[in-house]
Amino acid sequence: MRLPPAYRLRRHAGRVAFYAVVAGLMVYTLFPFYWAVVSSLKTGPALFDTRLWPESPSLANYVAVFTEQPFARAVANSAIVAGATTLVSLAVAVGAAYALGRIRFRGRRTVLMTILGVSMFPQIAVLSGLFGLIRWLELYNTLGALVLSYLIFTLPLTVWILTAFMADLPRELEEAAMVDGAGPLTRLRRVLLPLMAPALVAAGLLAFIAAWNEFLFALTFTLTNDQRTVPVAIALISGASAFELPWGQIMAASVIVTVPLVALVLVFQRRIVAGLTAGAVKG
Amino acid sequence: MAAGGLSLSGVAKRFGGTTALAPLDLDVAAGEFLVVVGPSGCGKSTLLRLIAGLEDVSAGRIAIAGRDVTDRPPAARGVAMVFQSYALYPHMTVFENIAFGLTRERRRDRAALAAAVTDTARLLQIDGLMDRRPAQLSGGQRQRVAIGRAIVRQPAVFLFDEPLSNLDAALRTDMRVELKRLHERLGATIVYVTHDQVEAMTLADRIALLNGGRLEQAGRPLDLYHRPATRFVAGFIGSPRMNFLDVRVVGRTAPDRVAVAADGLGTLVLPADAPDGTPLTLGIRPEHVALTAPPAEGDASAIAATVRMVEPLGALTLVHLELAAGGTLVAQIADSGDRPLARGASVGVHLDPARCHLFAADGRAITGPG
Repeated sequence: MRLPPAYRLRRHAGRVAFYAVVAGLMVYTLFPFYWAVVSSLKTGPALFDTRLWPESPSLANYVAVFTEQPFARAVANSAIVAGATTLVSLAVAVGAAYALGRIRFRGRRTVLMTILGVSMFPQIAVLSGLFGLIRWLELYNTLGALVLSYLIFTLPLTVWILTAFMADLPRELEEAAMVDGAGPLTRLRRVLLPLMAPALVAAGLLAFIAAWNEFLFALTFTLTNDQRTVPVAIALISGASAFELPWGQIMAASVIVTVPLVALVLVFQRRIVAGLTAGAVKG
Repeated sequence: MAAGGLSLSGVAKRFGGTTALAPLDLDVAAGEFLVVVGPSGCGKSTLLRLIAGLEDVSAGRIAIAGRDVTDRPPAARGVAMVFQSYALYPHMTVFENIAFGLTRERRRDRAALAAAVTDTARLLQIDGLMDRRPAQLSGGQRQRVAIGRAIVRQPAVFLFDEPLSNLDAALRTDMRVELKRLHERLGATIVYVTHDQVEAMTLADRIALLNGGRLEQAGRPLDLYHRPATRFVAGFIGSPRMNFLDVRVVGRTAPDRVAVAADGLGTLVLPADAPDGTPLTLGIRPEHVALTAPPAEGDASAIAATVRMVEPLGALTLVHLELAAGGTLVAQIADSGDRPLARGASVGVHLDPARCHLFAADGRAITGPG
């Protein structure tokens, strides 16, 4: 059956408009990253060229980042800090989520709200107090200082996500395991954790990304190159003289640190969607 | 108490200030199929969870197979439970689900483990589904896996929490028969909770009927049917429901026989003892209400009634009646093909005194057939 021409035209126009909007959005979100990639492939005066693809792309900046800057060390530091932050957050959050999502106790809501409240303080507001704490703990200029301070904002996130998820898991599953003779650790390991995998992945990724990107605490609590993380290291990349900013190297470093995040999200993308929506439609 | 059985003495449960279960004594013999039945909120699920150890008793003791397990955790009680929602582990295959409940010692021997799981699966005819996950199973198959998970543990007592309520009607009837057969085959001790009196009647060796956290009556299904101890039991067991009519004691014909009457009902003499004027409730099951020709004017031996609705069920017909003196009755009669009853027809009703139950104002049965 053929549809009336006016209707077909309208439908056609609608589809064109839709793809135009999608294209616009993609340019808006992807172009800055594209420009970073392009810039990282340029050297010298070519950086000031506005053509969309460089005339003579070169990987010299990528080599320079690792040879002229302490960048490899910074990447390793970032991986250690973000990894440790994620693992500690998840371990603590699983326990907290079990208590908050499963056990009814007086003040449960208050605890949840307090946890959320903690994450609302601007970083700059807690900076000086935290600095004092870190000096007192003798963690200044160590990676431990960063893990400790990052937990302040990763824990509320992971606790909330996992609590919402835990509250949605049927209690009968755990009771069935209890009757089946499984102890608390077996129940956690063989029933709860496998079921929570999507939420763990989602919460873990968000925590990892937040820790990986953090700048202010990393700048304040570290002093030497061997303790710096990537965002600080990139900001402090300097050229041969005070009058030169090595844009090419900065862009190359930026591209390098983006790749692990993109890769992680791609690997886990199906799970992250499941994790973010699960618990969202609780009745 | 026999070995392998279950014994509850004075078991009670309070949640905060509310009593979920009043102190209750109940013994289940080894191999007995006990059905705990009652309306929702009567405490039957609480009772099951107390036996399983998923809730702590507020008072009383629980013994399983002659061993006091009141303070033991669920795993150490020798019970297996089938949940209403089945509670299968969604991330495990059927095989893993069934194997999960096996003790560590039994899991160590791989071959024995596989044999135990396979035998159980074969018994329930799910041995072809071993590698599937619960999401890939139909409701009936999930039900079987849940039962298999319980069977493989060889518990002293099986606990079933409304296991058939999530199945459609046809499947429910099939599973009911199968459960009964399984019980005969395993000789297992079973405590089975349901709100469905048909399930209770068909499955049980013995029924415990709970209402409002109290045990109304415990006994064999037909005892509850024929000799209900309270008006609640009389109304709950049996479908269609028993008819209830308000009557009053009008005299005594012998030391243990009273005459009861209500306007337009005539007088019935029943074996009971109550002072004149006592208000009572007369109960009679629909199948014991007989229809006769309409009584003549002034004839007090039969009750005049009008047919309000006829429900033909095939083998049986339900006739809803409106009594001339007010009040309604349901009669269940064998096929009335030779005597068609139409809406609005006048009929006579005869109540067999031998089939009448009398209940006091507090609901206790003060007489009954047998």
